[in-house]
Amino acid sequence: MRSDQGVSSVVGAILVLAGLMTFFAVYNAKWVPVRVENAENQQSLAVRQGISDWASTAEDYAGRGLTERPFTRSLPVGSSSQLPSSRPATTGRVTLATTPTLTVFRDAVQVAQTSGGIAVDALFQRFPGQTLRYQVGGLTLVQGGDAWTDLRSMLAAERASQGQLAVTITALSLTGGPASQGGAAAVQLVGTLKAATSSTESAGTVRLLIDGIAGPAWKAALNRHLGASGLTGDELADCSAPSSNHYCFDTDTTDADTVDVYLRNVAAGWTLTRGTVQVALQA
Amino acid sequence: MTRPRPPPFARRPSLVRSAVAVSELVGNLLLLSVTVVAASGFTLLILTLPPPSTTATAIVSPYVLPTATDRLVIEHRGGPSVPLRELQVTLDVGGVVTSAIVGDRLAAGDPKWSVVSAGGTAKTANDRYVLGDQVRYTDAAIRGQAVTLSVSNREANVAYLNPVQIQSADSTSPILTTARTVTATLVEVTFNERLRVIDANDFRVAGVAPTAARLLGNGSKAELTVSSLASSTPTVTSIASPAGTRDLAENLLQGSLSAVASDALATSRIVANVIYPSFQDRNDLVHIGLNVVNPTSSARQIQSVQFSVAPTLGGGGGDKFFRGTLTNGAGSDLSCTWSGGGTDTVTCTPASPVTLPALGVRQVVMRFTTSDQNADAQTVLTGTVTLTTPSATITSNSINVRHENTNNDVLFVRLLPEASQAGNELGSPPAVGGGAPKDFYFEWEQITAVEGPLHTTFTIPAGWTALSVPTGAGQGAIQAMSISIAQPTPTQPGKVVVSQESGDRDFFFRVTPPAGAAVYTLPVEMIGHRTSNPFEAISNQFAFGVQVT
Repeated sequence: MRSDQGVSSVVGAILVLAGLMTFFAVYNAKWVPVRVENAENQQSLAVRQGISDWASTAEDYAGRGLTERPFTRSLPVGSSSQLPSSRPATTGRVTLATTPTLTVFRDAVQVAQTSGGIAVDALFQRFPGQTLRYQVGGLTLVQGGDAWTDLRSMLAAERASQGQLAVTITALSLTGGPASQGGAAAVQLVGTLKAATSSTESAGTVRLLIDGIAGPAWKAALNRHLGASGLTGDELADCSAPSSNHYCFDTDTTDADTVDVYLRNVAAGWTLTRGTVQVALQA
Repeated sequence: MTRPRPPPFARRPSLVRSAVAVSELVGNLLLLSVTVVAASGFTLLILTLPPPSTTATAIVSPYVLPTATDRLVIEHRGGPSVPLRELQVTLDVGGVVTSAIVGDRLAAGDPKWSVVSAGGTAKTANDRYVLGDQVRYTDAAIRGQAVTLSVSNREANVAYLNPVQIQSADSTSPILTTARTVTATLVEVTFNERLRVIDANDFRVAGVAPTAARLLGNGSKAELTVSSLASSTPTVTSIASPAGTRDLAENLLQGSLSAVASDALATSRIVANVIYPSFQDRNDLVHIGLNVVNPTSSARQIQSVQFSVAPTLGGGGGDKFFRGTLTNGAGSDLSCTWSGGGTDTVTCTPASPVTLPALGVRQVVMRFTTSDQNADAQTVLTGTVTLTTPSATITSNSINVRHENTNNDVLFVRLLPEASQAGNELGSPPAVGGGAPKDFYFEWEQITAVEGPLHTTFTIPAGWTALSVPTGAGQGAIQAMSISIAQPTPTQPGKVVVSQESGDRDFFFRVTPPAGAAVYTLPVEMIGHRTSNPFEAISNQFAFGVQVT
């Protein structure tokens, strides 16, 4: 203990330890959150891509009538922490539901009704928690109380001859729910197209009544989607009133969880594709 | 000189009093200083090391809709929210760069800037930019200008959107490029770019202002409505100074341009279906059916039908046509007969014009009796149909009518579609609904004098789906046939190839035509070898119009 060399070794060790502790403290305070957030963001994108791919396959199969051919996508809804790589510990859950409901009318005649949806909840530590919902052909992202919807190929409309609209609607029913699967791992989303029909319909006003969805986000998506085709819309209490616009939101029935939109003057021969996809969830 | 060594265990001299002590003290102080400085530097280095840049940024998507070309929308499509006071948008509009903090612009009441939620609620400067929100920059000056945009968080120094061009500069007028008659009262015109608005007064069709003009599809096409067309190929012009037709950049239509309308009505076409083409001797009866296909949405009239034979190929010196009649596809006599021969052309004008339905098929059948043997092995006929309202003349491809002057070496063929399994021969398959599987029945007979297998190929139009040849009821004949299938694709036609030995056959294939009213052509080719000359392949080509309702 009286050795100078002993003193310097202890001091040196303390200094090294202090340096390491400082480094890890700073790493944990500044680097880890960023790495975790980045990893959670990547996981979020992977989930979104996975369900989008699954939906594309379902829509493709329905369009081509490819029944009884299972298709699967893996959704990385959760993951386990693996330090020091700072991979986050996240959990998620995939849920099948019997809602929402899409009802398609031509004038006053109901020509199709589909229902069912898939919800993928992902809980993160740093990144905003998200819920992805694939419902009646549209994909909705929910963060807290906010939502954004992509209509995908559910609806296509463009101007046709004689001032009419050419319209194509793909309405998919998702069956198999209610069911749920999740945790800190991936969930296999298995779909099988059980039935698909495609028909051409006669002229008239086509009404889409979608109940059980994020109404404002769907309405914004419809405005964006139809506006991109050069179509204009209005919002009226009575959508049967004469108008030069191509579509109309019924203000009496369009609210926080419902969208009621009328496509005016649709030409004969508009196409309606219906499909029923049976969904199974596997760990 | 050697320095005396201190005795063992002798007390060390006091540092204070030693010159060595001074240097050790100074050295220790220096070492301590160096250590403190190094440790401080190391700590400072760690503390100031920048963390890895975050990739967990908000997803923003900018767009300009054709329905509001003065408004740039930047939509939040997922990821973290951002205080509007930190959201920085840099716009380059035609080389003029503007950088704005969105929250600051809202606070300043700048009318060009607004932020609304997905539900349409306006946001204020101190709100956050969250999922579904739209930042809107409204300024008529962006029309026609090249617009480049970048979006970032100025506090976090994170780019949400690196500079991306939203639209290109456009200062040129849209141009009328093509036109075509669609119906007797509609002319479709095409432009070199998308239009935002169209005005009928900016156009003339055959010198007359249209009564209406409407944009079609994405706006690069439009239809002009006229009261009537005197010609099926009118000239469409833009007036000298258009005032109401504009593109998305608000450029006015270029004036004094013209385009001669192509005759879409005349694209109605004849498909020659040689029903009973082979004959051998004087007084043999020949049936030639013409399937007139109308792919347009306008009904028309078949005014007259004419058959001609090429003088250099047919006849062989004998009369070509003798005692002919003309019937419609249902077998009704059109009260149009002729007799006598020696001519290369016969024309028949029915007392009552035959209606060619919109998007439909109509068959006319000429029956004539041969007047003489023909030394040539083949006569080439053409059929010509004259249509009314507006007038048009359509000529078929060559119709090969084989005939021989000797017996037993002719490939006799009679191929006809049928209405159903029970029969009912037709000139063309019956009208079918699109979007659902349909069965197409065919029967062929008098397959004689064939050496080796006879191959019959049915060509299925591109875009049709789910082609199959079911087995079971109604398919007894396929036991004696070899069948192969090539599925059609969206861009390539499919095939059903049937191979057989001599003998009559019938069968059906099942396929799903696309939904939507249209007419298609089903070409059929039959290839075999004659008994008299196995090395000579002969073929019969047929084609049937299929009307999809």
